[in-house]
Amino acid sequence: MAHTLKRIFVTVGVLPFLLLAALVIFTLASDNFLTVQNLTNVVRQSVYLVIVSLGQMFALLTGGFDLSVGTTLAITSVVGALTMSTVAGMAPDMAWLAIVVGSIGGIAAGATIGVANGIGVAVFGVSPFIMTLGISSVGFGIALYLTGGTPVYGMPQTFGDVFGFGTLWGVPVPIYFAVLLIIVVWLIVNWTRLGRYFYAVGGNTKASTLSGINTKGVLFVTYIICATLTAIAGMLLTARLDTGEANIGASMPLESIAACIIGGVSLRGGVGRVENVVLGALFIVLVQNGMNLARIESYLQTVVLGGLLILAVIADRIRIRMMASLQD
Amino acid sequence: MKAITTFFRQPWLFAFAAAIAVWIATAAFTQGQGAGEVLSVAFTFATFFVIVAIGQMFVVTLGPGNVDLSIPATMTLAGTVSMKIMDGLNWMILPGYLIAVAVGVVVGVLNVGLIRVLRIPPIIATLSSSFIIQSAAIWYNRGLRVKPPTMLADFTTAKIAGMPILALLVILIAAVMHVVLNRTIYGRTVIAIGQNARAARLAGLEVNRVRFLTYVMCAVFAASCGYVLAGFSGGAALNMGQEYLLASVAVVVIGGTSVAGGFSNIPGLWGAALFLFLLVTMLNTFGLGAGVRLLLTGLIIIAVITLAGGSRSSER
Repeated sequence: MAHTLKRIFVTVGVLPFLLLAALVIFTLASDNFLTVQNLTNVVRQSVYLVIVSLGQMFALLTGGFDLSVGTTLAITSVVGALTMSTVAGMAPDMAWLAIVVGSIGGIAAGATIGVANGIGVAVFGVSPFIMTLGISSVGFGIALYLTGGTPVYGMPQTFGDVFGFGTLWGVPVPIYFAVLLIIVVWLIVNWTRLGRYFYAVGGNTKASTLSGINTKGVLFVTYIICATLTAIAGMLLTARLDTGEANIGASMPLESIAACIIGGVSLRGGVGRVENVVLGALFIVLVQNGMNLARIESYLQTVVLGGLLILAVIADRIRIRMMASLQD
Repeated sequence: MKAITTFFRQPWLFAFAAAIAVWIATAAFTQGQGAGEVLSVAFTFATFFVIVAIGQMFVVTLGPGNVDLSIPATMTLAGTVSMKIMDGLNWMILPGYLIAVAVGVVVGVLNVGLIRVLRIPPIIATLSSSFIIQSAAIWYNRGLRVKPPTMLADFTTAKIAGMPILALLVILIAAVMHVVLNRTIYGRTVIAIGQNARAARLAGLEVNRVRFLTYVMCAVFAASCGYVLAGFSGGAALNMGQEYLLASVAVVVIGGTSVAGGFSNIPGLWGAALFLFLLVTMLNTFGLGAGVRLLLTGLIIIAVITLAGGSRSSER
């Protein structure tokens, strides 16, 4: 029995156990937790974190990380909302034109953050920590400058109705976006040459350079993918909030890194699976939802998040040790 | 000619040059009005930057990946705990400070524990511990703002001939730390670890103990800063440490310390701290907002690192 449990733990990691524990604890703590409505809610709320975590995963795979995802969300939201409301103001009858132009503008602005990070990390060899920290200050400065600190209004009603609150066949629209992006990322990472390069560069940069991989190019693309995914999440979040805001996403860098690490992505690069990252993000939102229902105070919630992060790292170490002992 | 080449070999002098240039620009804009006051205020605020930056600099010197992200949370916790315990009583000033230092030691040990025992990379370790520390501060304080003892408030705001006493004290501390860095076994070990941790270990240096001391020292500096800042600003606030994360990294980097570790510079910290504050003052005088300030801080950090990294790689 103990041996079987050990084998399961080594194969699937700590996350399924944590998920199970969370489900049991919160079901006992609150009657409203294990209901279809609440669980749908959890999935819908987790869309944004899932998408950002997918982006963060790329950065972690190559052995870096992106602290500027919060800023990317802010820039996307602000630029997208400003563009959309401007176009909507000029052509009030063509709501969809405003939505398309605004979304493209927002996502392009977000992707620019990734280009900047990519240039710094790949071309100039600046450490990802300093580069993304510096860029997050720059980006937040731009977002504040553009808005003057006030939310941006005036987007077409349709935008929020469809992309924020809309449902299709009973399922909220944002979930379709998340599922689509998960599939795309899964295909890229597992079935394309570029996808395998991320693992190679993160696993051993020098070896991959010597095997003829364009390491700098891969690193550059990494940060652009990360920022683009984050930007898509930013537009979806803007639709949900119905305003463009400079201060959305402040907690995103930590939460997305936590989701990846709980999902078994190695901080040293080269290790990580898409499906586990998705589960990791779901798990974080599930725990937050459960703690809200159980009326746990917000300061304790951040302690729990920090604690889970540390727990996940320890569990990962134990797992690697067990893996070695099972192979003997 | 030789003087010029020597100047360019000393990147930390740029920080002072930039600080003076920005000050002159501000003074020119106001036609010399209040230039002295601006400098006096700059010294007051630069002091707080320098206190945290000294600790951060030692950590950064330990080598790539070493950085303490828990500084803001440590400042907040030390500030709130010491203010609440002192409860505005003058005779409690010294015990209050010892409590702040104790908070720093606990945080430092927590950080090193995560890094050493659990082998979590420093960035993630200090990031997660900062969430725990910040939560502890919120839980302990519950939104109360306790006034500092009057003598502490007077001490932190006192000036001699326009020069804040606290600034003079921190200049003295910086001088001591300069000697510690360059003339003691501990300091030389920190630099050696930063240049090559493996070589340092093989040379028989006490790598683990020095790492431990450095993280604890950094947390103690952060805690001390929280203590004096809370005294200066009339009580601890939960967001008092917020801008010190970026600021501590910025001051260290602009002051000429290498992010890759192994090369550090204490006088540069003062130059960089003065420069950053005077820059903010200049932008405020020109009527530009917080957005532009954040933007410029970020750009300057990136520019300095890119230029410094480029020049070093060309030397090799």
